[in-house]
Amino acid sequence: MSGCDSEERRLLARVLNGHADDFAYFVDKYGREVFCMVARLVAVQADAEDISQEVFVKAFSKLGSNDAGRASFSTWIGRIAYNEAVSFLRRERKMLIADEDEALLNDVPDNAVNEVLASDNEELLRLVDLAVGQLQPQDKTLVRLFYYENRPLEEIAYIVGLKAGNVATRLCRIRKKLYLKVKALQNEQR
Amino acid sequence: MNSDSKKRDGQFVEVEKLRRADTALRRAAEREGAAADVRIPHNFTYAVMSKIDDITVRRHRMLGVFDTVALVVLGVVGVLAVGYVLYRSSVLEGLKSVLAADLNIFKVGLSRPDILIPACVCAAFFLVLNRILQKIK
Repeated sequence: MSGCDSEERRLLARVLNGHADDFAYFVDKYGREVFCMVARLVAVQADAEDISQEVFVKAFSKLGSNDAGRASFSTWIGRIAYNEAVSFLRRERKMLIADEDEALLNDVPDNAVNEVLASDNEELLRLVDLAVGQLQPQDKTLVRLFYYENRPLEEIAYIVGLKAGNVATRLCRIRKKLYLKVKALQNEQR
Repeated sequence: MNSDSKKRDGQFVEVEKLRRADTALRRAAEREGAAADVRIPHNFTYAVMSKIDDITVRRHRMLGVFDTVALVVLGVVGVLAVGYVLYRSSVLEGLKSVLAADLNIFKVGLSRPDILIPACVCAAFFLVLNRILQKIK
């Protein structure tokens, strides 16, 4: 894998040569990361545990594939985790329908969004916090990958299976959604 | 650089700027991220490795079955091919007569070497094939 350190590359080669036990290193190192990503999407702890285990089993089975060589192990397994969790949500019909009217989002002025999301006002911070909590799981994942984990757009695009341009567009829409949610929360408080 | 890629690069730059500019959103994402850092079950690695062991064992079993099938098929084909070549060969008249006798094993009374020679050839062939397949595996 292109982004792996030499130790990881050596262990991956050993796993591919039949030393399956060495895969435990990757489960130990990336287990928490995968579990957190899945748990954030599916919410139920038991489901998250099953899916996370399946993620590693799938990764083990696909280790020799071409797809595995395109990114670092962390990004690659993140992509598998995201896909597995989203597939689970689809199977369980837990995918939420778009929560904001598209036309409504188009009407939101960019400078107003910038003002709210760049604010350091305590009250606005609290409301943005609440609004992030109300986002759909997939949107929350994008926000986390971009703002919390500071991953580059191309890496996020690889994980969620979109083009980098689409990720940028979705992030802009999420910002507008958050703005609308903040405004709605402000109106509720009045 | 065409206008589409210029526009796209411009969009990337704008979005990258947001990463720093959106203070409130970044703080909320950090809080949300920290809250979502759930504790991983203590036997997680063990559970995953057990499943992987199962897969490995199943894979080896399947390989074993394939080996046996391949061995039998190759053995039968090989013996038939060698037998046919020897039988048709005018050079190996001696073996030809042995094989001819072997084919008539139930019709004609045969001496012990008449039966043992082809049997040893078959056994040696299977043994060599088995060793080769084991090395490949």
